[in-house]
Amino acid sequence: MNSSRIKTILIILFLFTDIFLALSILTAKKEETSISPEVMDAAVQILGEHNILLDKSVIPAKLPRASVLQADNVISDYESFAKTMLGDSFSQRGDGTFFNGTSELALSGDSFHFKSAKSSDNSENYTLSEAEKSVFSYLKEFGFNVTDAKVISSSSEGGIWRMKIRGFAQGLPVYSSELDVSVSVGGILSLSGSWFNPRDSIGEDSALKGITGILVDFASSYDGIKQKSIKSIESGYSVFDSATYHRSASLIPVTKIVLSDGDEYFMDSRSAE
Amino acid sequence: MKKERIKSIILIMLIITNLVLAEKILVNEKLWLSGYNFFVITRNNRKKNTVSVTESLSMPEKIIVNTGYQSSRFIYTRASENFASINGTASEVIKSAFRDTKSALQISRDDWYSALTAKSLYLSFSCSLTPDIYASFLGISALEVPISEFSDIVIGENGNVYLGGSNSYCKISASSSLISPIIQSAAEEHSDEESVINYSFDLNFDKNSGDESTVLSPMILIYSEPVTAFTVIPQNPAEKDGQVNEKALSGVLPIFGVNKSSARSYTEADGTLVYVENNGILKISPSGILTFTARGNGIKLQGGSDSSKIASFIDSVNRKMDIDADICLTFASISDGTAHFEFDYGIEGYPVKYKDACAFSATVKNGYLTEYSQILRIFNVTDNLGTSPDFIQALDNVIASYRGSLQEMRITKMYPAFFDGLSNEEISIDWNIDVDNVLAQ
Repeated sequence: MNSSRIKTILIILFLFTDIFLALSILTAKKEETSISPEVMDAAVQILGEHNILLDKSVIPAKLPRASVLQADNVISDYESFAKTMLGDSFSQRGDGTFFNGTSELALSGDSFHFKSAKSSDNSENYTLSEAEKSVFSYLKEFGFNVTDAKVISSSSEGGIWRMKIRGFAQGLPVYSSELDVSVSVGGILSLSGSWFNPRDSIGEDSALKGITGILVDFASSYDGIKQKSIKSIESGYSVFDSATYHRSASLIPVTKIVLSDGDEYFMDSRSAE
Repeated sequence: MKKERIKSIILIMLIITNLVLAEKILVNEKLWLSGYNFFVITRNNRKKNTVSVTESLSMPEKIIVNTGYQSSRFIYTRASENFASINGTASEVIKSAFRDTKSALQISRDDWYSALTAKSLYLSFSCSLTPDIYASFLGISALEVPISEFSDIVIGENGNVYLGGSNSYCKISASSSLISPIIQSAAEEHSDEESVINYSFDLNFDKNSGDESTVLSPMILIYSEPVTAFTVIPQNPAEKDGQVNEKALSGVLPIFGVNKSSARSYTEADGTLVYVENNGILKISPSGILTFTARGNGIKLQGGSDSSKIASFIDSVNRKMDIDADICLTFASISDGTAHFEFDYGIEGYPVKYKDACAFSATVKNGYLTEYSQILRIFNVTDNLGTSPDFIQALDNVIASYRGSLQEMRITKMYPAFFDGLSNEEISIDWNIDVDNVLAQ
């Protein structure tokens, strides 16, 4: 048998082996993200036993892959944040609130509430686009990383725009980076919420817990008596225990389950493996 | 020819692709059952040569060879060259004596002193041990001796073994010819020096006399000369630029069941890094204090007895953190399935002490680690020689600081030690003095 024939045989052999290995890897990855109908039916039944109705149409068609991210709280410490928001001259009250002549800042855990006492300079011609530009510019100036942030809702009354801004990371919403802001042509009137600036991701995204597992976990933890239905299911990131201050924290992949009455539940979606 | 070359190139590319795809499957943990991936396990289990806590459990803190004369008693600390061989021989004699404890009987304090001051080896432990715990360290069956706890062992020249507690003593009659050569060797080794080491009872410092209201525990060594030792610079291996160095910790996190890529973690206001996993919460402060608190059962430990489980665990942590220091047991308690042990670091044969804390603390319940704390430290010994204050001067200073608040003062422990204030500054040998407060009447 000459070397040419041996090479041909080896090429065919390795080609088949490569195809087999590639298919194995792809199949394994696909199995991580697809949902078996039988398993889903079982999950719906378990939810029903806990007074939760689920219309399968709200279940996401595809599960995202995500990894735990690290993020820094925009509040590096309470006093520094107060200096950022209120300037150098500020005082602190007994209840922990910071204030200067015109503005007030209250901090609790990871959350803050900033209110400006200056009179609003309203203009009915103040557009949403102008308001957004003004708000994002203001936030950037104070250390909020709004590169991937979006306005998810807005309304206007008497020249004052009220909007909800949410941060995003790796294409997914960060529920711990949400701000409620009211702004007029004169400037920011109030700003409240919490915000984490994500660091660059260094790890590979991995498969999350299956949606059925998440729904079963939710069913076991739900203690409501009245029957409710699941209105929406969405994947995102969150920092747990925001009532406690975190200088930096992991953004944990979560599944946000919203019920028909508006109640929101955040389920840890990290895979158990 | 050209066709052959193309075939060769295609074959090489297919082989490389094959190796890459195979590597993805073989090395990627996620595609295998947890714990099944041979290659991952071998990658994670590289061993290092460090001082083993497991081996040091049964070791005394120091050994004093008594040649029978007060002026020729010689201290061997764990850092001494001959300590290991002397301790090895002593352990063999002790194990042999413990095989038959039927002859064990209680003796008086005077009999204990007689044994100690005759030709003997005195093994001084840093903590009180129950006979069962000590037996587990030696790997022998439980002892039946008429003493509930002891912190001192004396081996007579003829092989009799004496156990000494705070107020009770016992003697196990045995015979051995192994001790005499050690005593002779020590005497010859130090023949040109006079080493005056007295015990507190030698000088009656353990008795209240007249106006003297300070007494020393009888077994405290009275040093006639200050102690000299090279100074030490402690370092926090988990700190960089005032913050916790996460990269340095990456090797030790899996030991606590923390998967860094998926664990929930956050930094507290003071810079303490916190990892929250299903089995527990791990915290590391910028000053290098590591604590683990279990949620649920905790971490399942491998190994035999609770003491060896804890010792192996500490060895694992120290290996990953490149901590190469002597570890000395300072407290041991086993009761109702729960074992609690505490340890100190030892440098140059002397313990390193911390304010209101011990270097290591571990609790094991039913085979699971439920609590663990460690002050992460690497010690760099310098070329500078430091000298402790004079023994009597140090004693006088302590007495002066307590005078007025105490009518009677009992010094329970006094020994050379280093004090680490967690500031990474150079530290010199000093005296550790434990005072048992007796309040003014």
